[in-house]
Amino acid sequence: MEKKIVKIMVNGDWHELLVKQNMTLLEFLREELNLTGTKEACDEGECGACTVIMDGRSVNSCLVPIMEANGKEITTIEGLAKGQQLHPLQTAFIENGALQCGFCTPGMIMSSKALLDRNPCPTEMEIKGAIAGNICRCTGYNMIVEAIKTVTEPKG
Amino acid sequence: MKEYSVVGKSTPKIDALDKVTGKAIYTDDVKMPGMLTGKLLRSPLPHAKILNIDTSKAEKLTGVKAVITGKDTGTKKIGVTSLTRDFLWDQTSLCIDKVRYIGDEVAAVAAVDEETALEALDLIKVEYEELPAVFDMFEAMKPGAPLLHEQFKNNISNEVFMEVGDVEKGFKDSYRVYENRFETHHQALSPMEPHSTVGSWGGDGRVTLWTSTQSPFQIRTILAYVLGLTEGQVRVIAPTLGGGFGGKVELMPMDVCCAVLSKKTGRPVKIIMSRKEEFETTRVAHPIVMEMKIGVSKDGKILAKKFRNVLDGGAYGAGGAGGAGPFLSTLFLRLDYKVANISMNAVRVCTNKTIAGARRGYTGPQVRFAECSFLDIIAEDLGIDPIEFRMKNAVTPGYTTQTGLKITSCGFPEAIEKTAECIGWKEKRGKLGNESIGVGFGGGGSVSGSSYAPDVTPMNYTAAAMVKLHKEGFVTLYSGAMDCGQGSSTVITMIAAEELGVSMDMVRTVVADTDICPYDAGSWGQRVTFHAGNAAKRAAADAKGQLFETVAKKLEAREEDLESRDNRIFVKGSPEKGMSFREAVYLCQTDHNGQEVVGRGFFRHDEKPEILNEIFASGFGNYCAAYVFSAGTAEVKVDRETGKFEVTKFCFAQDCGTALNPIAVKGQLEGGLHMGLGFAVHEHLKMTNGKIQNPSFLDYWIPTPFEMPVMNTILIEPHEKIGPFGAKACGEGSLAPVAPAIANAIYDAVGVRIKTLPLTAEKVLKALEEKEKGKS
Repeated sequence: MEKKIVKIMVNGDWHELLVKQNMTLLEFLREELNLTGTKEACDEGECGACTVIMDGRSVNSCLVPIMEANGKEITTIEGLAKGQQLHPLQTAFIENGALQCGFCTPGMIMSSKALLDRNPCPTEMEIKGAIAGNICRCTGYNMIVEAIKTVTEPKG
Repeated sequence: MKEYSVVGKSTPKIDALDKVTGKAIYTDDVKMPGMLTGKLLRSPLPHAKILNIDTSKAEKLTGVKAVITGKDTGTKKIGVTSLTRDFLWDQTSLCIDKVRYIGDEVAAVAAVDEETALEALDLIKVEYEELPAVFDMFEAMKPGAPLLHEQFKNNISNEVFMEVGDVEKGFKDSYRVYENRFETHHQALSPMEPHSTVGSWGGDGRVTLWTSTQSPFQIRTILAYVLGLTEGQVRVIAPTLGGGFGGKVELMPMDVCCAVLSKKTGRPVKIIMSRKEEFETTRVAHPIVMEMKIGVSKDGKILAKKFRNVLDGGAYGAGGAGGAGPFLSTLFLRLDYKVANISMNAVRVCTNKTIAGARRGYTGPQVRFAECSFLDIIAEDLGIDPIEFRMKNAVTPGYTTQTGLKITSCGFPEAIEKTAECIGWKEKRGKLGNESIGVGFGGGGSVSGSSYAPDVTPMNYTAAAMVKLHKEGFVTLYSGAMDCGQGSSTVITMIAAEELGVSMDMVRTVVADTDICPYDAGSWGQRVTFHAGNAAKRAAADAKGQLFETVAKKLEAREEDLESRDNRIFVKGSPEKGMSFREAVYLCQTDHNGQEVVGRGFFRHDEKPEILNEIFASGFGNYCAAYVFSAGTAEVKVDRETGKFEVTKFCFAQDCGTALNPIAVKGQLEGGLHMGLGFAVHEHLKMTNGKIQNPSFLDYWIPTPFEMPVMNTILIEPHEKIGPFGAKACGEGSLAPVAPAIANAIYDAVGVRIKTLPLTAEKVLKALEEKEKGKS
């Protein structure tokens, strides 16, 4: 497989690397940058565990060919906190019992963030819609939805 | 009652910060220099002889470092710790002479990367001679059916039979006797984290395994046995676990392969299941056919019951976690109602299909579907309200069942009443048929700390803990119990903090490393809060006792007058007369020439090992120290045109003893409802001739937030005197009420009874059409 140089901004830093062209964004993050917070649970784009934000849009990183991410801006779960200061969604997940085994959590939080970035005051249905592609086997989703609700801005 | 400082208050999980920041390390995140990728070659056939395996081409491929077959992993079989190792254990790590299901492990490779490893698998040539296969368990039991394992006559691997009272007389004395048959299907466990293992065989002959397991010590025992090592030569470390649900309690062939491949290559080897492999080759719930006969008096007392459960075990697992299936399927059916005459038989049958094992609630959700549906049928025929019928027969505190189960605390009657009230039973039941809306009930008992895994020593079902007090004032708690995500490490930390009288942030907890932590039998059978929690409490009490001895001398007070609370030790009633916890530890160490303050604790069900072994063989005796009860009510709305139905509301009541961490208990109930709803309605692993048809999340539908009903959870908290701070368990029993509550609600809504799971729109529609035909 022919290799190519890609330049991708991840969590605010540019990374310029020589990579196999058939690599996915997920592999790039986990294997090349050692950002293992993004999880692989199905590798088929069906579970949302590998969700990251690419140019403001939530994507399943296991489905993104690396060449498609070239030149783009990526945010992963590791890029959410500012130093020791957690993102409000992270705090809300901790305080509302919105995680158990935690394997879906990074993807779940990234999907929620993408939602709130474009729609700061979503309805409950909109919240459910935003995380409907993220499977959680532990919680039954209720506490996740409640956690996200605490971070939404009141309407008006 | 004493006011607690730590327990009883909703507390965030101690690993939550790592989990929300992506810092938690799961097995797939473990990386080592020189690490290789391993892959398994699996059987494409359901039943065949292996004539020859040619690995030469694969070995020559650049980047391939080792190829192994059954010759390398050997003839020793894998299972769970048990006295019956020789007879029941039925699976070698890699197949030797034949394959028994589609997906059976035949060979393994280690290569520099995944691509090369997969290419190597294609180059391994296996010659098979296909054998007749059997997929239906009733066909499998017939004489002359293809035999999977020589040692299991008629393909029956495990059987239990038990009888108490005089069941025939019970039926004779009954006002009415009913018979019925119910059936359940394959549910995949689907933890979000696939089974993952990294194995490293060191130059000193010691093996270290990082693996996604619920039971590190079980893994150590069996891995050492299979590899011909002592347990001292094996170290098992469980990184953060991404869900287990029962599927990660056993040693898997991939674990052995990692170790053997590492021995061959001198490098660490990692194997991660693909999602397809996860669906096809890891554990599933036992499908069960349940034939039941129940006799009742005119006023609705159950006088006799007779059950036969036939469990589809798949290709292996008789000596694995799957072997407990028949026993547990009967246990759950003699736990919740007072019945004097019982006859029960259960068998586990081998078929050429994927392997059934422990699934959250282990057979409880299956038998509860049958029992609760059946009780509703009987109640209707007797003209008694289903709730009233249950209240007449439900077990009560202090009751000992006919089969010797000693119920201590019991909130079952209260749970039944509260869930009925919550759903609006009186206003709705039988009254909303015009709108095709109905309500239904399901519920029953489960274990609080399973004592399965009887072995030659009582140690094998023990939980042990250690507490080390640091002179700087903080505490380390060591426990062998693995946190599957339910928050068990958080709750044992809370227990230790409460007992020591220190705040949560003073306790660091180290779990699930067999070289460092004391023994624990594993996180299954609702054991952890109860067993590991009791062990942690006792270890903390032991350490506290040592401090009190020193502090009492210093304060010239009596030890029994001391109290430890909010990081201080003081004389009860005189908080000014005392010292900080840190000063106390420092003083204690000084008094003992620097000797560390270490507390030890253990817990095991206070029943003799030989009796526990007997319980497993005959069914008689007190299996657990305590029992828990759950009850659920569902409201559904059915569309008569299409058969489609929606579960709009679900009320859940759980008798969990003292809820030590209420938000975690609530999380278990909501999660149990989710998995229970999947089992009841959405999830069905479909097979044709042993081939799984839907091995992906796209085709195997796990409920999304849109399928979830409005949930109400109610905690019933009777104080359990044997439990830590009065606690029992809550994680597994919560699945069981879901399917029957929905099935009974569908009946209430539109008058059709579905006796096979899953409950689908097709079945409802067909039943509605048949009902119409019957009328005309």
